[in-house]
Amino acid sequence: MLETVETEPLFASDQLDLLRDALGEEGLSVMLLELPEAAGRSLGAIQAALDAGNLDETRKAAHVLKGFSSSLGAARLASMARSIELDLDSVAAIAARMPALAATVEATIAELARRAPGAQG
Amino acid sequence: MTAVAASNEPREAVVGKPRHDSIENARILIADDDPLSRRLLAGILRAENFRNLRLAEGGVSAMEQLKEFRPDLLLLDMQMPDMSGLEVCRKVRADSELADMPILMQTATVDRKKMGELFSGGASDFLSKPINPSELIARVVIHLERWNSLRELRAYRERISRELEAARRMQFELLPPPGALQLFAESAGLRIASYNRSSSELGGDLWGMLPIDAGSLGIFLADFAGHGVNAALNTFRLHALIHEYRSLHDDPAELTSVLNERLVRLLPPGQFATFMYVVIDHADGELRFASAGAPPFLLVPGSGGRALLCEASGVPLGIERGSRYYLQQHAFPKDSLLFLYSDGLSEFVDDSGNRIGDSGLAKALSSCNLGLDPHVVIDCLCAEAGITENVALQDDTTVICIDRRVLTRAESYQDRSPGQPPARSSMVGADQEC
Repeated sequence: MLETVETEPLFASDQLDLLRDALGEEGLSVMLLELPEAAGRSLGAIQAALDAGNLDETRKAAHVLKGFSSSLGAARLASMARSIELDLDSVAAIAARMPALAATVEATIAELARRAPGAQG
Repeated sequence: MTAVAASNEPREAVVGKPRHDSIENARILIADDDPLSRRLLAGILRAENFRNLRLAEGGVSAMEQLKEFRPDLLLLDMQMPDMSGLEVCRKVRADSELADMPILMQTATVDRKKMGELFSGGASDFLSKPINPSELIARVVIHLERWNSLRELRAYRERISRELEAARRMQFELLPPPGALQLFAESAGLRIASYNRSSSELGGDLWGMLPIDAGSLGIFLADFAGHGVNAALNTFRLHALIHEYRSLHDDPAELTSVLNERLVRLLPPGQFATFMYVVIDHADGELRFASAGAPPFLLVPGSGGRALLCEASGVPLGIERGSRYYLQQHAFPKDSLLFLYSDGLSEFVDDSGNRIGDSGLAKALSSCNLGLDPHVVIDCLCAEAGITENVALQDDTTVICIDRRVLTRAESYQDRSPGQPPARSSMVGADQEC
């Protein structure tokens, strides 16, 4: 499952196209600029719930991450959050997945930065 | 991916159909615990010119804002930590002031049971996650349009109800005013009671009393085909015509003929009226009458007599030019009783599917005790026909009962207006039963 998720594209182009049609390029850019901070906040909330050994709160925090990342087209991040929310049945299993989740957040932010206006390459 | 790159290219509208201002000015409350999702939803709606938006950070905040903001549409996230979208939905539906407001529920679930709960909880529709902007706008627009239509329809219904009520009051004012009737009744040595009820807001029955001279008065009873606005407007026409031909009030046949000629020209095909006109000559103890297709009236000639059906043939008013109407006469001595009715009474179908008919009414009247107050006679015969206070009428119904009995001043006239309970007269004693 993890391997499948990790090979998924970081962003779903069809969802981004829908948002672009609705918001325009500038509007979409503004929304995407909020993604790194929101993802970092969710990562922190999941970790805090794990530290407290609270499986239910962990899943709720993962649900929030899944919601906004899928709507903003961050497909790999959304899949990883979905897996934490619905597939993993223990705090330990989720804790084992946290490094991969953190890496996906970093990769998503890097991809956004790479594609930002004025970015090199 | 070029998502973050700025572009000046005009974007296509998500929904191409032009929208009315009332849709774009609609108040929309967005409830979602995730700030980024709230902002994304608001951004998509603002991009489509929805400008009257309010954000709630959870279910509790949504409930607090509902009363004050009074949204036209509520966008609810299904899963919120403080109060679930489903719980908010149920509370909203339990509030009579908000019960009809459209609620769109956002959910990522594809679970059929959860979807069922969502709709049974009162959601108007759902929005799938991840957010699809086109779907969001299309569903918001369609539910706001429906909501606007519903409100317009309600406002229209309320206006029509007010206008119908005003028309009903005006029509009621066509009926003989109780004060004047009491004077007629006293001067003529008569007791009079009446019953008039429409089967809908407006009826097609009309009756009236016309003073002729010191020794006689006329009573007419008209019943226009159908009921509702058309029939009611025709009662106003007929009322005006009858009073226009004051000089014919003592000539039932001629008055009926003239009214027919006028109504033939006035009424469109398919509209007509049955009409009975009776002159009560209380000085000579005689009835003179003419009928235009009206039901017969009942006459109890003197005390102890059996009720007679008094029929007169004639084509209803407004159908055939040149129709002839003939004068009929009958004795009306002291202690006699005259009972006029529209076919709403004789043709009423009771709970058993039976109609009392003209002969059934005659039989019921014959079995009434002597000396009953006319109001009580009406109550008895209505009850025999199956018409009671709360029963829905199938047709407009008018009944008039007049007798020539020795009377006190207070006994002379009693009227049962529409909506008034069939209270018995204060003069009615325990022995006055059918």
